[in-house]
This record gives sequence, C-alpha cells and structure tokens, in this order.
Amino acid sequence: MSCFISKYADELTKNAAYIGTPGKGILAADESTGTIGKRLSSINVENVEENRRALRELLFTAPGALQYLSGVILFEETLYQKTASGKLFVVVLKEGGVLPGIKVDKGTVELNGTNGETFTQGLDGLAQRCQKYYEAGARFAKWRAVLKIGANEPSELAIQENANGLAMYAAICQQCGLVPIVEPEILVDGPHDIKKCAEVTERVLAACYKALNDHHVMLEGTLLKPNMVTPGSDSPKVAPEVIAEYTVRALQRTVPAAVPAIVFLSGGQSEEEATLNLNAMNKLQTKKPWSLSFSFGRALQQSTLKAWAGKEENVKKAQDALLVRCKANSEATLGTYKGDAKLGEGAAESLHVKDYKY
Amino acid sequence: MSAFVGKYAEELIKNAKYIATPGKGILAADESTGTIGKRLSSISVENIESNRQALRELLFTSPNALSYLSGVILFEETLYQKTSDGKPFVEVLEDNNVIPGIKVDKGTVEIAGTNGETTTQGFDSLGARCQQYYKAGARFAKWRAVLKIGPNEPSELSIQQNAQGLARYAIICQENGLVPIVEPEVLTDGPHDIQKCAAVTETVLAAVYKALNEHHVLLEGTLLKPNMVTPGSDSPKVAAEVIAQYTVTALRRTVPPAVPGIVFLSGGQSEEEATVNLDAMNKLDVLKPWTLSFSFGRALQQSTLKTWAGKKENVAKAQEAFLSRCKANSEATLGKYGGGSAGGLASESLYVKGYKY
Repeated sequence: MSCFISKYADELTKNAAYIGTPGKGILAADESTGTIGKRLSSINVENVEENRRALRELLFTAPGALQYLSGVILFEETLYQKTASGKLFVVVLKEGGVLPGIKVDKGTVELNGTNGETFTQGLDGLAQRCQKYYEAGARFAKWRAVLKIGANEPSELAIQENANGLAMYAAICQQCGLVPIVEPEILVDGPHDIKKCAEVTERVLAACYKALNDHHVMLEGTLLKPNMVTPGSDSPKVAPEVIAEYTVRALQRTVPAAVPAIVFLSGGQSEEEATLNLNAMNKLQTKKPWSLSFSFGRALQQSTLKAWAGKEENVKKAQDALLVRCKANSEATLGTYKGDAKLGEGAAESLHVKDYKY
Repeated sequence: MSAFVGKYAEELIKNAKYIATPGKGILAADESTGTIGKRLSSISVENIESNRQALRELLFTSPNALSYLSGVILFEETLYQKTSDGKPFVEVLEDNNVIPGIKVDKGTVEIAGTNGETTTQGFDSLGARCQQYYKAGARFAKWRAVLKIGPNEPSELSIQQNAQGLARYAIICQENGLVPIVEPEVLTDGPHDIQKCAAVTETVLAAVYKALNEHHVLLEGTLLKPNMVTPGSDSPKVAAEVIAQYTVTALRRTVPPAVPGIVFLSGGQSEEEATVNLDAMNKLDVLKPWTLSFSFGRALQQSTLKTWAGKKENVAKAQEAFLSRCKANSEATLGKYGGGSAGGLASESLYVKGYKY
C-alpha cells in the first residue's frame, strides 16, 4: 500500500469506525489549563485542580449522557484524574462504551513573515508521549491546526506547514496505536461570504489529504475534524440548509471515502446552531460515504457550565443540561432532530470569540 | 468555490452523470491512424480510410449494442465520418443516447533525464480544438497520461508532470463544454506484485486529485479512467476478488466522492478478464460513492475484429460478438455477470509490452 501498515492497523480501523457510529459523537473536554481557566472564571469559579476535576466528573458521570458519546477528548491532566470515589476517569468512560482520547498538540506559534498566521507545535518526543497515553488508556488523539481567511490568507506557506504538521502527527499516532483526529480549523473570523469559506476549505482539505498520502497515513484509521462551511463572523447568517449544502459539497470534493467519519468542530456557534447545522447535513439527500457527527467543546458544555456555576447543589441540573445537548446532537447525526431540545440558559448564545485561542 | 463554475457547469455535471449510468459504459474507439493500422494488419486488412470507416460503422450500427453504452470515444477523423448511407456517426450515436467523445491528446514524448518516462503532448490550441469538437457534437474528451513502475519509477518528476498535464487539460475542456476523462495509466509492465501496483496507483491518484484541485477543476463534471490494480505482467496472476479488493481500496483512499464515475481501462487484459474483474469490483460489499464501469478499447473489440477479418459477409457475426461483449460488461457494472460469454477469442490476452497507442 501507499500507506504504512502499523501493527495497530486493525485496532485503528475498528476504533475509528466505532467513533463514527451513527447516533454518537465526541465530547471535546480537552481544554488546556489556561483555557479552562477562562471558562471557570466566566462562572466565577477558581481555576484550581480540584475544580477542574469536579467539572470533568460532572460531565463524565452525567446519567444517560455517555450512551450518546463514542469518544471524549481529554487534556493530559485529566487522563490521570479520578472521580471523588477514586475511579479513574478513563475507566468510567470505558465502562460507558466511550473511547478516551488525548490532545497532543502544544498550541500554536506565529509563522514568521506572515500576517498573524500560525503553525502548531508538539512533534518533539511525540511518539514517546503517545506510547504513554496509550498505556494510560487513550485510543485516539487530537491536534488542532489553525488557518485564517484574509485578503492574502491563508497563504500557501500556512497551508503547507499546517497540512504537513497534521500529516506527521497522524503518522506518529498510528505507529503508537492512537487514531489521529485531523483538525484543520479555518477560523470563522472575518467579513467574507460562505463561498469564500467554501473555496478556502476545499483548498485546505485537498492539501491535507495530499500530505496524509505523502506521509503514508492509513486513512481508514483516521477521523477528520473540520469547520463547517459558513459565512464569516462579520457576515449575515444563512440558513442551516445552505450551510449543509456548502459543507457537504466541500467534503465530497476533497475527503476520500476511506475516511470513516467526519466530526465537526463547533467554532463560535451556539449550542443550538451547531446542532441544527449538523442535523441539516444529515438530512441532505446526497452522497455521504463517511458519517457526519460532532466533536463539540463549547457547543456541548455551555449551558452545563452556566447551570453548574461551580456549586455542588447544581450538579444534577447541570448534568440534565448536558444530557439535553448530547441527545440533541445524537439525533442530529441521524437527521432526526426536531429542534425541540429544552433550551438551557445560554443554548442559543453565540460562543464566538474573535481570533479564538485555546 | 474552489472549482471553476463556467457557463457549461450544469451541462458538464449532467453529461458526466449520464456517462456514469449503472449498466452502461464507454467504447474506446479512438485508436489513432497508426494504432488502428496495427489492429487492421493483424487481420490482414489495409489501413485506408474506407476500412477505418467500415470498422467503426460495424461497431456503431451493431443492433442493440448501443443500449449498453453511454459514450464512445472517437479519434478526430472518425468524428467527421459517416455511414455508407451518409449519416454522420455522431448522429447515429446521438440517436441512440450515446454521447460522442473525442481523444484530444497528441501522444507521449520522453522526459529527458528519466529512464524512459513520458509526458503527454496536446496543449497547443487545445481550447480552440475543443470548441471545434463541441460544434461537431462531442461532449466529452479523453487524454492519456502514462506512468511506469520500476526501481526508481515513477519518479516525482513524472508524477508531477503528468498530474499537472491532466489538470490543465481538464480545465481547458471544461471551459469549452467537454467533460474531461482523466486517464493516469500506470502500465502493467514489470515483475512487481499487486501491493507495489497499489502503492503506486494511490500515490499517482493522490497527486492527480491535488492537481485537479489546484487548477479549479469541477470534479462533478469529470470522470476518472484508471488502471485496475493488478500484479505486474511478469508476475503470477491473482483472483478477480483480489484485484477488486486492492483496486477499490486504492480508489476509496484517493478519489473524492464528488467524481460521479470511474471507467476502467483494460490495459493488456483479455476481454473476459477485464469483464470478470469489473464484475468482482461491483460485487464487493463496500461503500463506493462513484459508479464503477468500463472504458474498453481492445477488451471490447478484440473478438469483433477477428470475426470481421475485413469481410462484408462477416459483419453480422462480428456485430453479434460485439453485442455479446457489451452486454457482458453492462452486467459487470451491476455485479451481475454470470460468466459464459468467454469464447476462445475472449480469453486471449491483449498484453503488448511497452504498449503505445
């Protein structure tokens, strides 16, 4: 094959396919310590390890929620944390039929000579880290590359560097038994229209899949985590059906059928927007050889966070809110969401933060 | 979009989709004058225009055969020829819902500094020629790029050159209303095994689709004409199911779902081999977002040619042979081929080392 067949090939293929199970998706709970700090401060909660642990316990033990999830992405600290009663989070997840995943990148740094474009760090010692994470129970990984749309962006340099970085990361993950989620996020920031976003997305995805081929990555053992194709944040909104049409077409033009599933990031979309858009895509009558699901962070946790507000007595209320979003998104992967999810406070709130950094 | 959406966009999409109709495929009857000369001489027929016209008339007027075809690729001379009753071939095809296509490349030339690798000519005035062909009734085009497998082949240079050439040809076609068939043929010549062919095919196809994206080609208005993934000609043969597995895996890894149809070339395979392999692919229980069909030259015409032998009195029998292959391949596109149409001629290998059109 063009691709390198790692000793984990069958396991990677099986796990990637499992994550793409219709009706399930991914909870992105991999906020770095700095980023989770911003979330916690928005609800006046101190950013200490115990609070970070308490939040994640709330999420992973929410009754009924895990059945709608095939995977949860964790930050390194969380991979080793336990419930209050002493059970490892990874065990809680595994018992709930959920694969633990791990964020392995180390954030972005600027590309010299560009207009604020970036590439992603984290390749040094990556293989060793992946092996450790596999031993700790992780079975997939995530690496976020970031591109922006501007007058001269994304530049060919930014596209090549980020595509190449994603491909190197993916190849290393596969050698260590972790399914790589390939995430080339094109930020929504800007006044551009949906056509421009589509054009850039197609160009970026084509470069990614060429790079993955060059690096001998086995596509059957990967997942894609792209942005949806939408108008820029400073542009008028469009209907979910329009977003669905442009998004699925961009994917049809660039993502080979060997990729088992596509799990969208939510960007700055509100919880409800993200769900409605995903639903519209799954209703679309057109060729979709990969399943279309979610890998949401903010768009799954926003109302939950607000309901919790850091208080023990709110845990049940918060867990109910999470269940509502999980169920809604599960239905969206099947195209059966009717938009009737009990909207928690903040579910319709835009989560867009200009020039968002993790 | 990333793709160029010109005035012909809807028509291109419609025609590409029609050519990819399940149950139908393409007859590649675009042999250049030199190449058809070799075919004719193999049955002791003189290579003059009237004989070339007679052969193509035999094919295009075969009763019921056209119902199994969605397209026929023609050589330039044939685009302007008529039946002996004076009806333009193009009209005969159109009347039977077969889309006329046209070979637009001008053959291969060696790339200096490589070990016999080639690039394809044909860009000069290509746009203007496409316009002419469109006026004459053509609605799709074909351009053959050739790559070979060797210890250091295909080289990165050869892959890039041929991928870029195919992409440039494709966009020029689309600007002028012709659906481009993208044909990156990896030759079977060699002692390599099927895994090697698969690796090379995947690398080449990935480069081709990257180039098509760079050149803003509208994938929904294209077709792919690849080689099947097989062992090299000097290697032991394998079962059709194995060929199907490796071929479909390679395509699933590289060909975006936006492409409506994949129409295989037959390379040096016998008529029966080509049909059985295509059938096995369509029987394979795996998700295939494009139709899998045929664009066969030799593998559709071999027995027909031999049966005809240039004699008027053999025409009806020759047409029956042709109908038989068309029907067999139609069934193969549906995974319903039951075998049994293999006469002695149909099993004859058509492999020619270092094959040049």
